[in-house]
Amino acid sequence: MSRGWLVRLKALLRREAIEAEFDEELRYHLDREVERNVARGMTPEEARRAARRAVGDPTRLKEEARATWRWRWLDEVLQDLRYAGRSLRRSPGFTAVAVLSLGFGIGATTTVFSVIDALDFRPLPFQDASRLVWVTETPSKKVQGCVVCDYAGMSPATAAEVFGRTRSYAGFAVEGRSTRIFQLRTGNTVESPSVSFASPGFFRFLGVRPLLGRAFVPEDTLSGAPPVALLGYAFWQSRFGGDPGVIGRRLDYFDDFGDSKMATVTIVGVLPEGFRFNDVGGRPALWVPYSRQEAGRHARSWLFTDVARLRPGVTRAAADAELTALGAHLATSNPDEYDGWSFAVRPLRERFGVDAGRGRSTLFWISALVLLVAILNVAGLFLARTDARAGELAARSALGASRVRLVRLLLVEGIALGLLGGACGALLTVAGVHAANPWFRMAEFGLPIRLDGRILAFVGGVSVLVGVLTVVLPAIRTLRSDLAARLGGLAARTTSRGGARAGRGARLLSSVQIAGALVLVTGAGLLGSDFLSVRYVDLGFDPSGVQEALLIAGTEERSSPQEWQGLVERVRDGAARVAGVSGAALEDWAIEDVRTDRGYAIAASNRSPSVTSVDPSYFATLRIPIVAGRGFTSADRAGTTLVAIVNEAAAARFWPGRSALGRRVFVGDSASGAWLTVVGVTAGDAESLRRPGHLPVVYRPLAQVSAVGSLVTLYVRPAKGHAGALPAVQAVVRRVLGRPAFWQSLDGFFSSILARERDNALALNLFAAFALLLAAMGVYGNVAYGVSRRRREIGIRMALGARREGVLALMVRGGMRMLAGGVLLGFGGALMFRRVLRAFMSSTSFRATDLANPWLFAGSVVVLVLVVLVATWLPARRATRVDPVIALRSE
Amino acid sequence: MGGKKIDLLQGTLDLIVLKMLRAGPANGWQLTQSIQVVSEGAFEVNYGSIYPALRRLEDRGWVKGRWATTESNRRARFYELTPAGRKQLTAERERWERFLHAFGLILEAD
Repeated sequence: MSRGWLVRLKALLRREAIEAEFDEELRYHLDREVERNVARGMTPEEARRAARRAVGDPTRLKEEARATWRWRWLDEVLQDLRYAGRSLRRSPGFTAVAVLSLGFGIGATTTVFSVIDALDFRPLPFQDASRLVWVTETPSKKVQGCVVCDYAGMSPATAAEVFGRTRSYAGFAVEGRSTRIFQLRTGNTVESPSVSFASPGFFRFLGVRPLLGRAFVPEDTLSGAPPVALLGYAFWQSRFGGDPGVIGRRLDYFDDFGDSKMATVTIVGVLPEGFRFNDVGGRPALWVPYSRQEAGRHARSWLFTDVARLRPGVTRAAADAELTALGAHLATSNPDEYDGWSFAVRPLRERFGVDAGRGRSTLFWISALVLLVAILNVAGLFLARTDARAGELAARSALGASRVRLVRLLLVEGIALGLLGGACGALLTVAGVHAANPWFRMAEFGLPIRLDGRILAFVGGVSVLVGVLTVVLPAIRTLRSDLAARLGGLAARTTSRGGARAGRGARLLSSVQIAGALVLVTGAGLLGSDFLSVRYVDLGFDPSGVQEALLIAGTEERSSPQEWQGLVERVRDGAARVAGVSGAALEDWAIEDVRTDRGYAIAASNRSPSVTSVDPSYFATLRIPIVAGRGFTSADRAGTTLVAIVNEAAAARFWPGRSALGRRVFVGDSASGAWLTVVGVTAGDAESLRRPGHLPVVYRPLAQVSAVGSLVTLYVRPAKGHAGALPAVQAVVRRVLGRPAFWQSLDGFFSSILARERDNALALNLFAAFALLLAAMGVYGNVAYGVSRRRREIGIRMALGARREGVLALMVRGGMRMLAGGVLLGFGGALMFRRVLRAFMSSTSFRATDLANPWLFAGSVVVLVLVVLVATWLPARRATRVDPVIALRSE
Repeated sequence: MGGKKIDLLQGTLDLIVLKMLRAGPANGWQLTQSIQVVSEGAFEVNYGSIYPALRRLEDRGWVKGRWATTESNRRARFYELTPAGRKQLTAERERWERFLHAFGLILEAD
């Protein structure tokens, strides 16, 4: 077998040598034949003639011998390929445009495909990853703009209920971002490395081994056990220079909770470089064991991820059904806690792909549309080219090429183009994957987006398919027409009727192209504006640019709350006076019991509402709009009527269907609490950054609170263009407090997500712009070609005395008719696409903003009108300038 | 050489060539001559069928061609059986004999 292969391959590669050998072999045979004839007594002349007769036609014989090679078809394909290469080289403009169009289309599709591959198909880098699930608790009603909802996990209190009462899981582990503030201080700088919790078995559960030292053990969580921590790889590198002797070293930190004193942890291990789990708000620098106490402290925090492993034989759907039933039960037995919350068992990978996941199917369809536009481009160009080559094809046909052979010729040319486009696309994919990695955070979870054999195979497959698709129309035309018609067509195609008929396919293509581009532009624009709208519209306040400092009372300041309050007010006033600061405000957040004059009561341990004391400048500084009543003023101070402002969520919950103004809420326990009168309602609240959904919030004036807490937040909003005011503010804080504070930007936690939203919007708009460009190129080519093909007709019209303006108008009218068809088609398509998008987006917390749409659509139409105008005008004007006699004679 | 010429049955030329080559390497010319002689002139394999047949057999790996010098000191392409060709010969031969047997049964049946 292998020998046969070799022979054939050799035959293919050394064709000339083999032919020569064959000739020699035949010559030998012929010579012997002649010798024999001479031996039989013929004259040499006769002998030679007889031998020739016996042997027959040597050329035919050679053909027959060659036909026995089973690879003959490949030989012919190689011939076709050589021919295709020559013909593509002859028209470099066509080739360049086609290859670039296809390259971009294919590159876009495969880039998106590799993203989807990383998001959906490659297994997560954890042990037994296919059975890992993520158990979540989210508000049942989707909250618009609730970025945190997508990241919400389950609170420890709920987790205790869930894993205590279900049977679907073989085990679970908990990871969570700490809301505690660990402050490491060196000199004038305060570092607050992000800290994550991990249940003792967490790392073993995922099959992750520490690079150095050990992972947590259950003993680490016993009360009285020495506090321990694991270092994240990056933190180990940046702060300890990758020192292997770091194990056993002690780290002093400031613990804001409970005792507010310096505490110490011992480093017991370093996590491997590739390990990623949860990096919302920055990669964790330290991991500490998740103990029962910590669970209690964070009983109501949602920033926990509960990873469970399904028991063998249990499907995710079954686990989900069990959990949903449990949720329904909890909602009736404990409505304050669980009413309005939904539980779900989701694939663990959703935990990592949430932000990318939302756009990916849209991205896929958009890239597929880009590819479609590219294919239409090339198909249009190809069709035009085939028409232009009708003469050549007819000649080949007349010389005996079968119709199938002609189609094969086209096919080989198309596939060659496709493969060239594919090569170009592969290069673009490499660049695209490079660019996509930072956008999609899969790399941060050990699943970098990358090219592999499957994706290259995908590129190859798409290229061939594209090659075939582009020649479908020309091939059909070639198959349908017979030789006579084609030869006749040589003349007919330049006349009006023939031209119109031949142009119908091209016009249809252009219309579809225009429609595709319009759908693409509107779809991408729609999505892009949606991504952008997330930022300001829905949070209920504007965190952009705001910096927050956590002011923590020291030991002696704690003993004198009045003095501490004076101190933080001086800090605020000092900060507000700094040039370039447009607002400074204080907030003291607390968890307190709340009840209302309607008898509605919630204990402090429940998840809502939060009570927070703020100063009058708070709402303006954070740009929280007051929708009813008034904000706080300096008149709201100790000794005057105790007042409160509630957010809309609280108003709706406490006094459904009524105005909240003038109503009363009781805050605090019965000993120290007080009745407050509601004087205002806000539209949003800053809490939506930290908690899922808009939950009830009650604000009270800081001046009416008897004692300010030991942890006060200072918000500073720099005026536009004065972001540089921050160092001066920091200096004020240092001077007044006598120590530095830890600063962070208020939207820092989500700014990366929001930035990614903007990047997504940008990417989509780039896609759309490119699609429009591609479509414009294709439409221009098609239309201009269509007009130039009617040169002869134009010549006749001019010869018969038509005015140039009349002819130009005729051509432009034709172009506009085609454009109108495309625009109508595109309008319908865009409407449909929008409906699909909207259905898709209603399943997430985002909404489709329609605002920018009509303008985008109209703008794209204007661009296309200009393109068609130029594409008809220029060639038509050129045609009318040509002497009619020359125009008629051309061809 | 007195017998009347008969046409070769479809598909038998390969078997004939393989059988002839079992005796040792031969070139195309020699093969045509020996087939004629051995079949007592009944089979005349011409030039137009022997070379395509040889190509086909070589293509399948049953024979192998090699350039060598003849007794008259001329270069000619000699073919020899490969081990695979030997196996093929046995198989073809059995098949042919089964065919002959069955054919005989049919012709002799009343």
